[in-house]
Amino acid sequence: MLNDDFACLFDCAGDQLIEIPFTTSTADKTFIGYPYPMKGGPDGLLDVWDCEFEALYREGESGARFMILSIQTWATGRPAPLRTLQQFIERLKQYNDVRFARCSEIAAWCDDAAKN
Amino acid sequence: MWTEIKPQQQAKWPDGVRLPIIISVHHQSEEAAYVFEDGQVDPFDYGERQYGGRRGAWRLLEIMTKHDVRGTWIVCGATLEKYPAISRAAKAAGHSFAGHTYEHEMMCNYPAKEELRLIRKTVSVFEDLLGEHLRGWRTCFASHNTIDILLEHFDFEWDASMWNDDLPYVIEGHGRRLLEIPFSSYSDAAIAVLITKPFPPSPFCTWSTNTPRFIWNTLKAQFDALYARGATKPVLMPLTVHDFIVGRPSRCKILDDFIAYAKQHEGVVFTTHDEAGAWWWKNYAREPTTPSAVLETS
Repeated sequence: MLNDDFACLFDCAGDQLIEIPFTTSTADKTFIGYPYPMKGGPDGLLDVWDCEFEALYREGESGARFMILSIQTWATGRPAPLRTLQQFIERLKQYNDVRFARCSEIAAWCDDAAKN
Repeated sequence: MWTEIKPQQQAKWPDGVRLPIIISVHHQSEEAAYVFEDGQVDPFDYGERQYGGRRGAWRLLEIMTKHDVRGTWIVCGATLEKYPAISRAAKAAGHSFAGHTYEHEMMCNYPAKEELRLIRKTVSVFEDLLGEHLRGWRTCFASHNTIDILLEHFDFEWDASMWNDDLPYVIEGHGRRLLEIPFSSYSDAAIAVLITKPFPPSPFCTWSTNTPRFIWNTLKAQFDALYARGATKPVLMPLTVHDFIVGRPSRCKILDDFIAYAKQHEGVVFTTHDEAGAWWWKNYAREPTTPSAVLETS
């Protein structure tokens, strides 16, 4: 789903499903996919990711937040955007309260939160 | 039929107001979601837009609250029915309201009778759910009948549907007057994303999307030009943000930064259509000063 910032728990037909939404607003293919030209030039992706991170990091002071980043092998896998991703990850690693997580870990946290 | 009334004196804002900025929050969420030829709603586009009601509108309200600024919430009737809590929170925070049709119908495609019905329906939703008697209206793509319908059948004090000027102007018809407060295409719908036909514009994105820096550059260019001009002439900056577009974190940061930047300038006032409209009516001082006064004397 594209309709939220945070995971939610669906009750469906006697079973449950955790939905972890994503967004195209920060996806690499939105900015560097065909048709060209890429939006914002070579620095465009970093601009998008930096702004998204800064907004969510600030909001994270008062509530649970996660940032989801959709990247394609054929898009960010190219040398220039790959360097952008490296720079972005290096910057985030300087924060001791930012964690890189798998969707399964996010789902586990949500499952715990729903039970407690 | 209606005619435009010229001000009786050199139009200006109150002393100390050099550049009023009116933030219009378009709270329409999924109302305008793309519908395929077979009548099914596109689930991808629906989800992108539904973000507006679920999250985006709350984030916009939070940022405006953080900066202690008020604006006008332009809300569809159906959106108010689905997400009443956000409009009630915006009302409690002192924002103004305008109707934005019921399900974001493009009025230019509707006959006058249906347009009238949809405006009435929207007005009644505001009264029922928000206790709000609407003073303003912004239609979705005005028809040739819109202004006549507003004048003849409603008591709106202002309309903000037109794109044809930089400053407000008064129109008269059907025995009363209405203030038109135009807006411009310098809004998020034009600078942050481009929602086009064919849809989607490519297999790789929902909409054609610009970077936050592009949005910032565009807003700043418009602001700087208006602020400079405002030293000698009346100016107005309409700033339209949609819940599902600028409500996203990366774009909301630009709104956050822009408000902070603008507030550093002396004479910049973030205001509402209600307040700016009341200021502008004073330029017609030799004439009755409010629409209701016109009604009483006409």
